[in-house]
This record gives sequence, structure tokens and C-alpha cells, in this order.
Amino acid sequence: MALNLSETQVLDNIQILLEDIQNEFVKICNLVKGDIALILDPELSLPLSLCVDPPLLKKCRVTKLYELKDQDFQTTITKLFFYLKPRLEMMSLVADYIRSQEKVSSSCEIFIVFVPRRSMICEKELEKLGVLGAASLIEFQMDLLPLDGDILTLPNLSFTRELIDNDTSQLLNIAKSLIKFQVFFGKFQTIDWIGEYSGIVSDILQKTITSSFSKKMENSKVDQLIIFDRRVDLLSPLVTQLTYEGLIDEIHGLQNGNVLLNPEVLGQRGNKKIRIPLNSTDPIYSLIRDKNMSTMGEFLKRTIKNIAEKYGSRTSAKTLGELKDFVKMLPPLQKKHHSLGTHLSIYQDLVRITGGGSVLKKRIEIELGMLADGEKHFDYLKELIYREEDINIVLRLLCIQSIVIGGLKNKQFDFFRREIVHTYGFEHVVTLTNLEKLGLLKKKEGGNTFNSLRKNLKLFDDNFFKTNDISLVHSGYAPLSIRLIQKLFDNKNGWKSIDDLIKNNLGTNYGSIELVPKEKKSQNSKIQNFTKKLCLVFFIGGVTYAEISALRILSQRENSNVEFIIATTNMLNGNQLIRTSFPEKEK
Amino acid sequence: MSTYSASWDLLHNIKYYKQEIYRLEETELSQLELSGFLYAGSKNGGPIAFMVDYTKAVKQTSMILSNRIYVFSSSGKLLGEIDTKDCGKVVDIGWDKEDRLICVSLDSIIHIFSMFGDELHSITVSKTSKMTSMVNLCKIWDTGVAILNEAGDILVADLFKKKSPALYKTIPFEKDIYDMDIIPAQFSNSRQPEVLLCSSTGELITCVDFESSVEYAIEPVVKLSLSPSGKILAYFTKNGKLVVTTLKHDQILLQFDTKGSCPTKLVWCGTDSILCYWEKKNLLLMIGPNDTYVQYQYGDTICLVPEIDGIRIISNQTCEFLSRVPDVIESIFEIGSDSPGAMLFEANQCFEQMDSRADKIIRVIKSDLSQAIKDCLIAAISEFDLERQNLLIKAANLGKTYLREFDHGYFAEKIKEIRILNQIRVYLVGIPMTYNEYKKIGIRNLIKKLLNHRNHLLAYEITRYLKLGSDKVLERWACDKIRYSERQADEDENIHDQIMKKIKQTKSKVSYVKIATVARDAGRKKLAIKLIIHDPRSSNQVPLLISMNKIEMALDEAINSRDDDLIYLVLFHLLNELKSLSITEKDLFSKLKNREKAIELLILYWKKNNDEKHLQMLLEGLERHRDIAALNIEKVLESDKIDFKTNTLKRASGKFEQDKNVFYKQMCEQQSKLIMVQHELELKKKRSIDFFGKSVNETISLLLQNRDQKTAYKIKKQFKVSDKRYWWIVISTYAKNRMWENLSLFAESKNSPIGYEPFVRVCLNQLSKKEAARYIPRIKNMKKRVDFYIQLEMFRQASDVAGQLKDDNILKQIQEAKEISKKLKKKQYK
Repeated sequence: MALNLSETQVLDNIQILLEDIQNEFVKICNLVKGDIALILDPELSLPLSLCVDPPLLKKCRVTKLYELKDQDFQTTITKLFFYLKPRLEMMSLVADYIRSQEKVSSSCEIFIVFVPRRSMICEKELEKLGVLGAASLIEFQMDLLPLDGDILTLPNLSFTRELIDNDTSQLLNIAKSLIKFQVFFGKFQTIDWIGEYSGIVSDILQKTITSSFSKKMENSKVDQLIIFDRRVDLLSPLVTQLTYEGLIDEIHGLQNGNVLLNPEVLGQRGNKKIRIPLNSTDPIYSLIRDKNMSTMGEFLKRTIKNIAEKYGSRTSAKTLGELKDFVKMLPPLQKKHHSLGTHLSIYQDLVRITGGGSVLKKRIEIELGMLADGEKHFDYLKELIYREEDINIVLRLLCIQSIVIGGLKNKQFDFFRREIVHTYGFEHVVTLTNLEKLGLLKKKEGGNTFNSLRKNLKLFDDNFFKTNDISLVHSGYAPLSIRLIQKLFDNKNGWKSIDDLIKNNLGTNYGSIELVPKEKKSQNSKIQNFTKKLCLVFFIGGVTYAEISALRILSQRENSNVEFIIATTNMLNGNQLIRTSFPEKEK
Repeated sequence: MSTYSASWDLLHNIKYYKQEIYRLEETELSQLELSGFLYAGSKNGGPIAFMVDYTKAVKQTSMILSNRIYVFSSSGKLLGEIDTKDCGKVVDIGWDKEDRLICVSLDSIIHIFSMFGDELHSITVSKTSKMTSMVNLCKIWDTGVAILNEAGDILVADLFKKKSPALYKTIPFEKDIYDMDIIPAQFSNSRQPEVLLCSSTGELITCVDFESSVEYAIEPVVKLSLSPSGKILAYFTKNGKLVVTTLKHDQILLQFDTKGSCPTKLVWCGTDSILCYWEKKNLLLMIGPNDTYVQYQYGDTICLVPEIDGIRIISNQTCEFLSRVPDVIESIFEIGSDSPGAMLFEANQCFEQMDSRADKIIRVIKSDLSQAIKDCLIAAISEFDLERQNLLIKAANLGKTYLREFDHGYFAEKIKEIRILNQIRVYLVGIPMTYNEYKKIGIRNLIKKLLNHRNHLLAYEITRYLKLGSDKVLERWACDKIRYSERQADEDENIHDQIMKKIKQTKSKVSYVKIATVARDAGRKKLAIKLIIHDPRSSNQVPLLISMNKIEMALDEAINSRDDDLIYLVLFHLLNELKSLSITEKDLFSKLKNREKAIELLILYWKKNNDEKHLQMLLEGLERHRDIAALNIEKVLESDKIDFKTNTLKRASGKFEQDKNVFYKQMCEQQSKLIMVQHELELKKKRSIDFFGKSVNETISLLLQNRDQKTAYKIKKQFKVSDKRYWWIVISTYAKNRMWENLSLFAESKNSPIGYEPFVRVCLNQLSKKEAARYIPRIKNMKKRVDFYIQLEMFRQASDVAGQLKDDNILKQIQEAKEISKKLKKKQYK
């Protein structure tokens, strides 16, 4: 079962994060009187819609909503709020607009709201464009937002391109969002970090914790923070996700907890895509999201039987009391019934796509072969290229191949790169160099580090049905990221027990900080022995749905005494990861 | 004690008394010939400034210089001397509420000094920046200065807000203005200072702002004075009458004919009486309602400093305080008083003389004892005379021993207040603040005042005594220490150590950036740097370090903070210097050397700003060939001009070569070649085919579509396309374009290097079962053949092949597939 946070204390509070952001929005609107026009950075439309809904807009007297794009628009409203990411390229658009608006009406009140924080370069640019004086600059700290009961995201900032550019400018914002989190939920007692970026964030956190924390924050609701730098494990996102939720993401693409489906998937007609919200409030979905596709059929059958039986109890109900009980049961039952119908349709469609003889099935077999014992599938890879398969798929598999065998031999390396450039175009020289920068694609040098990782961390285990191991999320491959996190709980010495592995094979660093003195912690833990420890895992650079499922599985194991809340800069899957390495124009 | 009240004066029904605060005979102040000076005293027991009055020719001792202002404490101590020779002719002096000396010069410039003579800043008061006018009249009050200049403009400057002086209404030339006063903002209806003027033509004008004013026609007035409450106005008419009215002139409160000439000073004594002082006669007249007055005759010139509850009178001999007798003092010391306070005081007198009546008296007032104790305490605070104060405290203490339930906290609090007031009144400090004033300004402003007087130690002791937190005091001490200590080369280290020692000793939290800024402004860069590194916040450190041109330090601190904006702050400073040619690119790059993060950000900034020149320069300097190559490739992708593309590719390939990256070098060369080939092809084909931006595969495919197999093959050779890939391109192209005949011919042309399965697949992709079936027999793997036949529902052929394989399982499989297919078909028909 999915971690049901409505039963824990944290969920009630998680809404605070949203409310706080909404209050902040209202406050900004109240800077002026009268009707307001919002002009949004297109990249902010979606994040903003996560926290500001139409009734709230109405309450705040927002009567017009525009996106700031190249085309000009005119409005008679004189109170203008530009919500912008601090992106340099937006500044000239704003400046143009302000100037044209000033011609129309001189009594405009213009605010430039930077999300989440102001930036020196943008201010400099506005100054250069001569409009710095015409607008008031403010900040809107749209930080961590709940995406689901146990998932928080930083919707205003994506952190994938940064991985390639080695751009660390967002790390301060990440740290600040975690500081704000602690204002609401109290100080973390310990921080475990892995990877360079995590180290930086942890460093900033430690500095602020010692300098400016109030008494109110003494009462920790979240015991532990784990900061995970995506660059420690870029392999796992490339591997095809095989949980129900993960597969929906791979095939249809999940966006902010919604999926857009073609009507025929749901057995309907028409050509307009249908939006289906997928989150823990859906009674069936919360039960099946983390399940491996191969066990779903059985599970769904059982559930159908169960519901049918409950409906059947109508006929056996004789007394008035029994009938009353039945009626009471109806609304939740109907909700389940409806949800079950939807998921059956989606499931059947997924079975068709991944079933026997399908291209996808073959690909997954190859992929698992590579991961299980470093099989080489160069012919298959060649064929994919010759068939001019989707480049995302080609590169995903090629990168996995490169990682599991510790890099490609010189001849192979040049061969595949050339075939890709010749087939998919010269622009992919950029893609390839970026993948090399990330270490996803490389020439064979030295030994195969993946082998020892696989052995020591048991990255492959196809006995997952019996052991209920996290490897079920990829039908055999256990995500390296989550195996590492698991080590923190399975071994008393945590990452110290695999010091050599982390430092030499992963080539990265880690650390652990105790923020609450030991004696104090032991006092707290006396009470906490009855409840599970709560742990926030922050992924810098994104996390996959499969990884989240793996964390949920971890917390549901019998001997587990920990529950996870997942925070991430953004959700990620293999195609998205590959696409970030594309040249700007191709995205 | 009866003699005490005997010296009190009665004005109408109110009692007044003069208390001697300091004797000044032996002090520096006693040396001045007061009659020759212009003077101004600061409120709340603040200092008094003296300046030689040009209009009077009074001989001074040779010590006194005419272009100097001398500042004394009320206890006669010389605090500072101010050289005014740079200020031009000073027409008036005064004090603001923070005990800063305000000098107004004839050319409308306000100079602001500390009481110790350091010039802090100056304000030019003029209508326009070009035109300045001479000062005609001016008025200085505790937050501002009003000037009426010779052009008739009234300008009001606020000393505490950073804004240019406000222009009020202009007064016509023909009106001669005799005197001016101010209704401070806290009392005015408009919530900003209003200016009161009296003219020779008999009008009283209130200027509210630039547009509005109110005029009352009365008689010609020569002197004006607004009461400390801001509600009542006193004026002196040309023919010797003193009039007191409400500000609206709807009620005349007092009228008194002095039969005298215009007084030297017209000031309020508290809020209940007016003082007229004629310097020539050394006569001070206190005037109350109903024609009552008290006359004080002095032997020599006196100076008057109005306070909210009385007036300080300074002569060469004494500093006195003239005020109403406070009610508690009156009730205790009035002859024959039987108030509880008086009885308790009496009881204590008896007690001191071991007279048993003490006990009896206290028993008589037992029910009022609490009030009596309070009265004695308040009386003690109001007293300047320490002996009398002591007796009053003792009386209160005696009363307390009889009244256990008396609020001990209250008692302790009052004693604390007495101790503090006594401490600031001692001769060395010389701030004779009254209890009323203390209550009005509060303890925090008192501490501030002490700091303005540079009594840091006393301020520190008081904050410690009252447990108020002494961080700010220490901070101010450190600032003053830097500002005012002697400048010597090796002093920096010393001062730094002294300051740090004190801060550590007292465990204070001070703002290092503030102290360091003071050091910088004092020209002590080294000291400033030493201090700023103690500040825990980088956002404080970086700007200050930049302002001192400590760029490398600022950079390191900014990088350390992980705040990109701080790094940009330093970078922008450097870029501005680059722009203004203060530094060269070389200087810039050398400053950034080994500071990776700053370099990254600069690269990012220049990239976003398309500053190619600088970007190339920087990357070249750093020998980052791969980045330059990447940059060039980006440009190639953005451009659609062939020449530009090929040239840029050449540069990119060169850079890859420098980076020893042979593969990408080749790719660039190939791409360049491809572009040229494509261009030639387009010309040859008369632009009927668009090759622009196409990959090698696509180019071949396009040619095949156009049935130019020969050129296609040429390109295959040219770009060393493998046979396998070439075959795939060919069959996919033919299938996609349904060129079945070509496909068939091609299949026959040679033995396929990729087998024949792909042939089947490309046909199936086009849903052409017929064409697909054609190639199945050529597939080597028999099992595959069966699978394809089943897929195409050619069950007979499938069975044939299966028969050759002699595998029952496969036959069974075929049978099953056949049945499923039948069922499906039936369903479809239904």
C-alpha cells in the first residue's frame, strides 16, 4: 500500500507549504488596489497553476492572465504583475512591454515578481534596458510544493540542464527551500548527503542552522534529511520503469500528477485527449501504483471480485439495518468501481504495448540482460540505429551498455558515435559531447566499476517476487540510488560500511552531520520508538517514479522503521534525461 | 526646611523656584564675557554653544577667537571648539535632537557638527541648484531648519530625512518680517512643519506649504514664541505689549503691558508662564495670568535654555533651573503642610534625632502611608539638591519599614531612576536632565545621548545595570574609537586588538560591517579589512571589500558563500572598470585566475549577452579548446548561411584538434564536406530538392527517392557508410515510398548483408502483406519464417515450413493461431 500520509501528522502539515505560498501570493496582490493583470513567464504557467487556482485568482482581483511571449498584447488594466523566472532572455520582452504600456497609459503600476528570487544579472539587464526605475522588483518564494501525499517538488526550478553545465547557482535556492521547510517542520536531527552538490547544500544548511534558528524549530517532526546528488546515479533513470506508475510515465508521460490519454485507450471516441489525475486520493491507484506490471493482472482480478461481492451483499441484505449498511457503503464503493474501470483500460493498453512479441518487450529483455551480467548487445543497438528508432531509445540503451561494461572500446565508441551523427544529424554532436560530460557515454579506460557495484550492492535480483525487494520496480534491477539509501538503514555504520565503494567505484563523496546533540536525541527517540522515523529524501536533479516506488517498498517492509517523504527539484525519466543533453534547438 | 519654601515665588496661583545645579566660578565657562556672544543650548540638559556676536563689540580675552564656536556642558566644561572659517559667515546656530550642532551660514548652507567639533555633513538650501540667496531670517529646531531668504522664499530642510529642502510660500518683498517660529510637525494640522511669521505691517502668517497660508491681521509684532505644547503662541508687540493667544487666535489668554522695548529673548518657562529678558538691563521678567509677574534682577548677562518643564539659566557663576515647584515638593515642603508626604518627611527628621514622635506621626498617617512613600520618592527624583534628595529617600525608606506590603519593585525602580539621573548630572558628565525629560525621552534615548556625549563607559554601565543589552553601546564605542583615535601608522593593529578584546570580553554581538565601514570612511583600509572578516555574513563583507578595491578578497568571500549574486556583484564591478578602461582584460583575467566558479559565471554571463569577443578571449586564455569548439558548434546550428557554417566548422575542428579529440574533429570536417556536397547537389538539381540541414542518411534517402542511385552510392562511398547501414537506408526508403519494384530489384542485385528479415519488416511497416510475403522464403532461419507466415495469416505456408522442421510444437502453435484468427473474423462479421 502506498504510504498513506493522511494518517500521519506530516500530511496535515504538508498543506502548510501550499497555504504559505498562497498567502504570499495574496500579499503580493494586495500591494495594489483594483483589478490586476498577471503576465507570466511561460515556464511558470504550470508551476503557478499548482498553487494558485481560479477562485484564488478571482479573490485577488486578477482579471487578466497572459503569457509573456514575443507577441504584443494590450490591456487597459493598469496594475501589472510580471511573474518571471530570473532568466536573462525574458528581460528584453518585459522591457519592450513596459515601454509600450507606458505610451498607452502613464499611470501604470508595474511589479516584476521574481520567482523564486531576484538575480543580479536580471536587474543589471533591466537597468541596461532603462526600465529598472519603472517597475518595483519583488520576490515570490514559491518553494517546495506538495505534488502528492509524500512527494514535494520545486516546480519553479528544473535541475537537469544544470547537471551538464555544472551550474551550481540553484543550489542556494534548494538550500533555502529546505531552510523554509524546517521553519514549518522543525530542525532535521541528522543530515546524510552524497555527491558534490549535496555536500554544498548540506554545507549551506549547516551554516544557517548554527547562525539563525529559532526555538520554535527545536521540535523536529522530520528526523532525518538525506540529500542525493543525481550525478551519483545517472544510470537508474535510464532503465525502463516497470511499475504501473512508472510505465504510464514512460509511455504516456506524467505531468504534475496528471496523465493525458488518447480517448481510445479508455474505450472512448473523439480526438481530444483526456486528462486523468493520478495520485494517492484515487483509492485503486494508491494500491497499484507501485506494483510490478506482471503482478497487476492478478491483483486487479481480485479487486474486481471483491467489489462484485460487496455489490452482491445487496441481495443477501434482509433486515432494514443490513440494507442501511449497504447504502452507506455505496459511495466509496462506486468511487472504487469507477476508478477500477479506468485503470483496467489503462492496464490493458499497457499490456498490449509491452506484451509478447512487442518491440518494447524485446528491448526490456535486452536491457535486463545488460544489467544482469553485462551482456553485450552491439548488434541489437546497431539495428535500432539502422531502423532509425527514436533517438531517445537508442541513446538510453547505448548509455546503459556503456555503463555496465565500463565504457566502450575505442573502435566501438567511434563507430556508434558516427552512426548516430550520420543517421540523426550533425546536431547530435552536441548531444554526444553532453552525454560524455555526464559520464553516461565513455571510452573504456581502466576496470569495470559497475561490476563491483552490482555485486556488492546486489543491484540485480530477479527473485524479487519472493523477497519483495526493491528490484521489482525494474523487474530485476534495483535502482543504485535507492540501494545506497537502503544502506543507511540496513547497516549500523551506514555509508561508512561501503566507504571504498562510494569513493573509488562511484568516485564521489559523502558525509553525515548530527544537528541535535546525542543526549537530546535519545530523549526524543524514547517517545519515537512507537512511531516510525520520518525521513526526507531530497533528490537534486530529479527522481523517477520507479525510485519513489522503491522507497515506498522499503518503508513497507516488515522490519522497516522508517517512512519517507520525497522531495525533488523535478520528476525525471530516461527520455527526459537524454533530452536535456540535446542542443537547445532540438528540445 | 521651612527656609526652602520661603525662596519660592508665587505667580498667579502657581509656585516657582530656582534650583542651583552647578557652580561655575572655577570653570572654563566663567572665562567668557557672555554679553558678547550669540548662543544656543540643546534641550534635555544638552550642551551650549557660544559664538562671538559680530554685531556687538565686546572685548574678549585673547583666548577667544571670533571665527570659532565654543561648546560647553551645563557644568561649564569646554567640550569642543569648532573652526567656522570654512563655513563662511555663520548667521545662526542651534542644536538638533541628537545634540548635533547646526550652523546656518549667510549663503544658505547648513553645516552639521558633532558637539566635539567634527563636521558631519552639510546641506545647501536653495530653490534651484544654480541660485542661492542670502539668509534673511532662520529658525533651527530639533529636527529641521527653516530659512527665509532675501528673495522672500521660505525653505524648510528636514535634518533626519534624506530629501531636498521643501519650498514654502514666497513672501512679497514689501513685507518686512520681524520674527519667525515653527510649529513642529508633531503639533501641526498638516503633519509637517508649518512656519509662523510676523510682519511689520501687522500680520501674523502661518505658512502651511507651497500653496496655502493663513493670515491674521493684528498689530505689528516684533517677537514670537510658541509654547512647548505647540498649542499656544506668545508674541511681543511693537508697542511693548505681551500677548498670549491660542494658535487660531480665537481666545486671548493673557495680555500684559511691559511698557518696555523689544526684549532680547522671549521664551516660555514650561507651559505656564512667559519670560522676557532684556539684556541691557539684565532683567528677567516672568509673566503669568491676571497681570501677575515676578522680576529677577541679575548682575550680569545670563543665557536662557528652554526645557519642556522649565528653563536653564546660565551665568558666569551658576547654572540654575527655573521651573514650577512640582506638586509633591510643594506638598512636602510648604510651610505648615500636613500632607502625608510632609508628615513622613517630618517623621524621618524626628527619627534621625532619635525622637519618639517619629513613631506617633507615622501611626497618624498610617492609612496614607503608601501615598506618602510614593510622594517622597517622586520628590527625591525631582530634586537636584543631593542632600535634600537623600533625606527624602530616607523618609521613604522609613515609611516602607512600616508598610511591608509596599510594592518593592516600584521602590527599587524609582531608586534606580534616581541613581541614573544622579550619575548623568555629575559635574564631569554635566547633563542636568529633569525627571520629566527623562520620562519623555526614555532610557534608550538617554543611552543614545550619553553616546553622543561620548560617555561610552557610563552608557555601558547603565545598560548593564538595567540589563538592557549593551551590544549597541559597544558597537558605537568601537566606531568612535576608530573615528577619534590618533592616526598613527602602527595604530591599526592596536585598535583592532583593543576592539576585539572588548567585544570578546563582553560577549557582545556587534555589526562588524558597520564598524568596518566606519574604519573605511576614516581612511583606515587595513583596519576595515581586519574587522570585516569577523562578520559572519558574506553579503555584508563583499560590498565593503569591493568599495575598498579588495577585489580578490571579495571574490573569494563571494565564492565561499555560494551565492552567485554576490559573485556577480564583484564581476559587475570589474566589468564596469573594464568598460571605463580602469583595468584591461588582462587585469580582469589575472584577478579571476584559479577562481573557477567566478570564471564559470562570467562565461555564462558573456554567453547570454552574446559578448563573443570577450568570451573567445577568456576561453583562449584558459586554453579551454573544447568549450570554444562547443561554442562554435552552437553557432553553426543557429546559422543558415553556408559560408558561415563551413568557416565556423573549420574553427571548431581546429579547436577539437587542439583538444586532441580526433573523432569530433573528423565529424566537423565531414559536416563541412556534407554541406558543400549538398550545396552542389542543389545547384545540380536546380534546387528541386532541399538538402539543407539533412543528415548523411537523409541525403542518401532523398537521392534514392529521386531515383538518383548513382549519386546516392557516391555519397555512401564518400562518407564511408557501411554496407549494412546503406542497405537499411535503401530498403527503408523504397518501402516508405512504396517503390516496390526498386526494392525487389535491389534485393536481387546482391546477396543482402543484412539478411532478408528487414525486407519483410519494412514492408510490414507499410502494411503491405503482399510485398512482405515475397521476401519470407529468403529468410534463413526457418522458425522466423514460420512466425512471419503466422503473422501474415498464411497458415498453409507456415505449415509447409514447419513440416520441414519436423517440430510438433510449432505445428500445434500454427493450429492455435489459425483458430484464434477464425474466431476473430467471425466476430468482425457479426
